[in-house]
Amino acid sequence: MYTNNIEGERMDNLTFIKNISERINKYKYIYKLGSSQRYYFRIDQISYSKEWKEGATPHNEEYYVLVEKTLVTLTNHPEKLFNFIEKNFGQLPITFSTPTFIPGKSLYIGLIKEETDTQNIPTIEDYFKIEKENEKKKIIECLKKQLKLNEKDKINFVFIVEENKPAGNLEETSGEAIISNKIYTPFWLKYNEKKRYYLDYINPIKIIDLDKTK
Amino acid sequence: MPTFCDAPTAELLELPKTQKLSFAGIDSNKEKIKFNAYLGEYMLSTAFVMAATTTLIMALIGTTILAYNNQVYESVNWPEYDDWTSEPNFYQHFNDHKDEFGFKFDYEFRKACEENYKNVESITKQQYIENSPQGKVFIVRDAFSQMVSMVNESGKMFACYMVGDPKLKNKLQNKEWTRLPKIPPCIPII
Repeated sequence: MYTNNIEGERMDNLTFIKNISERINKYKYIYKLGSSQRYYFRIDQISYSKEWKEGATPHNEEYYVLVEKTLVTLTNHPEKLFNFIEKNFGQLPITFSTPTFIPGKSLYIGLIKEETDTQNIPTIEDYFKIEKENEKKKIIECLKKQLKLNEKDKINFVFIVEENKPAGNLEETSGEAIISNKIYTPFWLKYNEKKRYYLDYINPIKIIDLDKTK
Repeated sequence: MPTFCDAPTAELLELPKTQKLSFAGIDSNKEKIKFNAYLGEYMLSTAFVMAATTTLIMALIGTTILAYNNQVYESVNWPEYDDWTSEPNFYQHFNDHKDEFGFKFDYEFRKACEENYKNVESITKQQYIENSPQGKVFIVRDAFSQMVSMVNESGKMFACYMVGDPKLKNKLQNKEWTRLPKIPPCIPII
């Protein structure tokens, strides 16, 4: 079984593993991580089409682009990731960095971050105690409310960016979070007088642990 | 016949044909060598003093710049750009900020954000660093467009938007962002 890469070359299992391993090694080197570390990967199915669909973004004068599907996995075995992709997406072209424009469907594979020991992450309950009134606290409140989280859940932020538009007293804030090593979600904190603070954009995705599934 | 002017008397004197023109008033070769050595030593010491003074002035200018910024700098490995953290994140930023910059298509926005980050040497770009709980953030802001490109330690861009001057001032005052010194290629001394 083969997967074509974006340049049209055929990408076999070994080439895929080499690519993923290089990315893991780079990440490991930068963040000084151990060899047994596991990583969250995202797989985005991207579609370039001349027809506009709900949620699509104009790419150029002719084409629209849409992220049709996203899956998130956890593993430190690139070969398991390869098998998972083939099983769920077939033989679509794959890219690991800038998606090259090709009409039709393609896949983008990204390393989100390393798995973090949940013992080092405070629970939502603890966050409320230690965090002062700021964007982060609002995000936690909104995530808890909108995703119906438990007080014992643990939110591990991948990144948080305070955008340049005030939302009430605070600021619009975008980011991504991993909740209790089970759910991954991007978010965008916004504010209006009616809704007050709310997460305008969340897309909770269940994390698939490839080392626990067959 | 050459003539020389004797200033005190203003009398024109005739020199004998055989008279030698003396070298700094020294006639003997031995003395001339001594004088040359002295002259060389003098010029070397002058050059040394000038070099030392210039170095001192440059050091003072550098210190002033650092003192002005009121920060201590460490060597920074600026990460190589490696595209966005994710496509949905990119499209979210594009949809939310495209109007700030007047972009219609996603590829224009992607290219502008990337070039903003990469062209750090441009005179209009300024580099900043943020120490976030999630790691170091590498920021480039363009003074004209006010576009800010934010990249994580692994080179992934996770935000690109407009930061106005008041907001920038706040971030610097609150020490959320640290400005990296930008030494211009030519510092005016005067």
